[in-house]
Amino acid sequence: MAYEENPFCSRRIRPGAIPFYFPEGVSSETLLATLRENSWRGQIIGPHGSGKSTLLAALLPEIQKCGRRVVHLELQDGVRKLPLSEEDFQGMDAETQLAIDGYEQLSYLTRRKLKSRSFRQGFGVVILGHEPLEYPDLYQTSRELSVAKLIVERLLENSIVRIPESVIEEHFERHKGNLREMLFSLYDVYEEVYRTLKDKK
Amino acid sequence: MKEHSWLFTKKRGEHRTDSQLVGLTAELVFSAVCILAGALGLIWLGWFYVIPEWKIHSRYEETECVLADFRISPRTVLGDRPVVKEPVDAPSIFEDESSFHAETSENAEKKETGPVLGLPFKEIYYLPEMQLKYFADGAERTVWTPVFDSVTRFSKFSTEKSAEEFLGKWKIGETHTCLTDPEDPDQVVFIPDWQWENFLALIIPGSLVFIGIGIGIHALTAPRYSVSKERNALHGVFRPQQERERSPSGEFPNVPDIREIIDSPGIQLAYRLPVLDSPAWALFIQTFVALLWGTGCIGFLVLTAFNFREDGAWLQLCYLMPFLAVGVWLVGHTYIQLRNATCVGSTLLEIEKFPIFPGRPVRLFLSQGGSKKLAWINVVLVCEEEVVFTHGTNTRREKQRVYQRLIFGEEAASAAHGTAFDAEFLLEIPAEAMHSFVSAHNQVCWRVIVQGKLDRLPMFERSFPIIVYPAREEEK
Amino acid sequence: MICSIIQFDQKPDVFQPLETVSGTFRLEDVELESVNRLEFSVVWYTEGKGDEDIGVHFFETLDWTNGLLGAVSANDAHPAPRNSVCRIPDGDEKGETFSFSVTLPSSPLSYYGMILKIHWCVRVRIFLKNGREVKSEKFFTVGSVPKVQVDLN
Repeated sequence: MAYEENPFCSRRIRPGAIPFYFPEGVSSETLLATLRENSWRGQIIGPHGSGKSTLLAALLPEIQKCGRRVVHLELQDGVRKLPLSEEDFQGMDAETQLAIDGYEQLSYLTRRKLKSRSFRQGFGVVILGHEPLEYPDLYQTSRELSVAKLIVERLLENSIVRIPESVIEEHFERHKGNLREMLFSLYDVYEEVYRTLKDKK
Repeated sequence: MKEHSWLFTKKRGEHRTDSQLVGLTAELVFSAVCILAGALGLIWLGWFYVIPEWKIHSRYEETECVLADFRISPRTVLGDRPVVKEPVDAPSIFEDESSFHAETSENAEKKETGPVLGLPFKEIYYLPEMQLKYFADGAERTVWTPVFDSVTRFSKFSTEKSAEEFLGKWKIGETHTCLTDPEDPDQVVFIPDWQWENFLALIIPGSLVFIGIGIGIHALTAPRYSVSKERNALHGVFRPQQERERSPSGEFPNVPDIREIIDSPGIQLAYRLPVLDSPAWALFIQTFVALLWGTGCIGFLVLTAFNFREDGAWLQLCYLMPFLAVGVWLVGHTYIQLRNATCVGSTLLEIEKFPIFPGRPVRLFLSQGGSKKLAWINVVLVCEEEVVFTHGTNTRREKQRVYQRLIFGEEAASAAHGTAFDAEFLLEIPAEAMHSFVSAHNQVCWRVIVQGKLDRLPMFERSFPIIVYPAREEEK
Repeated sequence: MICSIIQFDQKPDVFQPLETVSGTFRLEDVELESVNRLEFSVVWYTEGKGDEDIGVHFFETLDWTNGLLGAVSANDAHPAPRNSVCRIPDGDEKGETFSFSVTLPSSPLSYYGMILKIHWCVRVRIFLKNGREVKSEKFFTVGSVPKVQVDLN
């Protein structure tokens, strides 16, 4: 059976699967330069579903190309301590880049210890959060309809299905700009349209 | 019409401020307020009521005394410092009343014992006192003492008449029990028995402290279901993959373990199906909380009522009102839920055999209890897809019902009022339907849902899981 | 272009539980000596709105140390013995052919639902000595569960 994968399935919209669309004047190179100026410390802030994780996924390979060893942590809900052992910490040095998704749910004490440790041992830290925390600003993501349309266009480029812009706008508004929710919502739209087209054939 | 798939999305910090820090701070502040309020209440009650009560009753000795005389002593409050006046030679109230008033007023002007602050006279209150005759330490003693309504507070009244009425409860010459200090026999207290409401009242501030501590612990530690990604993401709905994906013989990978639902034998048919999401525990906890809250409120209310004649009682009552209102709602709501649960009765669903294969009907037996007449009852077969998506702190669950069929229904069910409604019917999974499937983040599940309504009660719904195996060639 | 062409013996590519999936895969435009190892697998995986789950039903590594990459099956008739992968002679110098035969389990069946789909496929990964990796896969259907149409009666 030949089938066409729904382009809005989780595998295709997960952070890293979609490229990050930089606004004019900003690129991964400029962000890397900013990060370097701040001793490889920085925070990416923005509301839910605005592309923070996607941006991080775009930056990490570039950071690796700079010769740094990347340790990427995605903290699950409810985790208040870093899932790193003392040995893991001792292995971190000035060439190590720690990236933490879910930094805000760490306890205050853990965050203080991490910051002091990073200064002592010299490793860099990039965090994702919803509001400014104790690291220098690296980038602030926002919910943009134009970006949403670009993403949908890219996802549909090899598909027989077309989703009108008005539908994209409607779903963008419905989910208040949360791109992840919008894309999941378009999953159902795509499924319905695709099935209708296939049934007609 | 396509059923709208419902969505349960959990995101930290999104709903109000997009900030987990603010959320955590708010939780901790709330926790601190609860603990502080509770602690203050405990300290106040303990210091002024409970501890003195305990001290008095444990240290002082009971002694028989005779009520020799009564009197009412006026007291004056000057500015914000009470000035205690010695009621020197104040006559008994049962003698010349007018001379008493004149004399005490005169004395009041002449015999101020406290520091004169130069502040205008503010308030006068009347202190009922008794002269007690009793034996202590080998001697007969005669002592004037105020009448205490609790170990730290003596009765006082704003009018002389109310003080007289208060003293009218006793008669001169009566014998009563009083408490004397063994180290100083001249110290005597005329007091009613243990004020148990003081101890009972500790429940309210105590509950506040517990609630505050619980919220604080929760805020600081967060629920630690597990550190594993699958268990955390699935929140117990989908058990770990290796536990659930294997049928007992391993013959059907990724089909849920049938042992989960065949561990209960039936009466009419082979197996009794378990109920999903039984409200029993939730109702139990709710009932416990309602009882605790209600008991605490009643205790405080009784305490306030006992001291109603005292100044400040209205203020106490005002403070108590919100707690009472919550208590009334809580108890009422719990009662309705309990009543509904008990009136609806149990729903038993039994099945002829397991496993179930598509295209092969099996018998079901339904027994619906209830103290009221059954208006209608339906049995629906449904199939739902359930998925979980996680990324970082975001956990997203979605459910989509893809199949629904009424397999049994009856209006104005025939069972007599108060007896169980029984019915037997067939369950058939469509021949080409998908089997039950479970993996770490996805599942296809089949359920039998019993919906019904008893007279004058809201509709009820109970869900029973079933496991459908892949159709075998010979079954088709 | 280096690729692997997978073909099933049976057409259409629909199998029933406990049946045997057999076929061949052919490496095109590659010399076997440049291959470090081959990975052959028969897997199912989910697709949809939930996280992807994968179940590996059959997995075999063919490399030079276990001899599976170099040795040609003595039985030059296809198909391969049950639950195995082996190289078979095909007389073509520009590529190599391998035969496979895997018995399917009784579940899970292929499923085309609304927010969840279950796909079965045969996957071949070629790891070249120069570090490159080439992947190819071919889908097949297990069972005969039709595409789900939401039916809420």
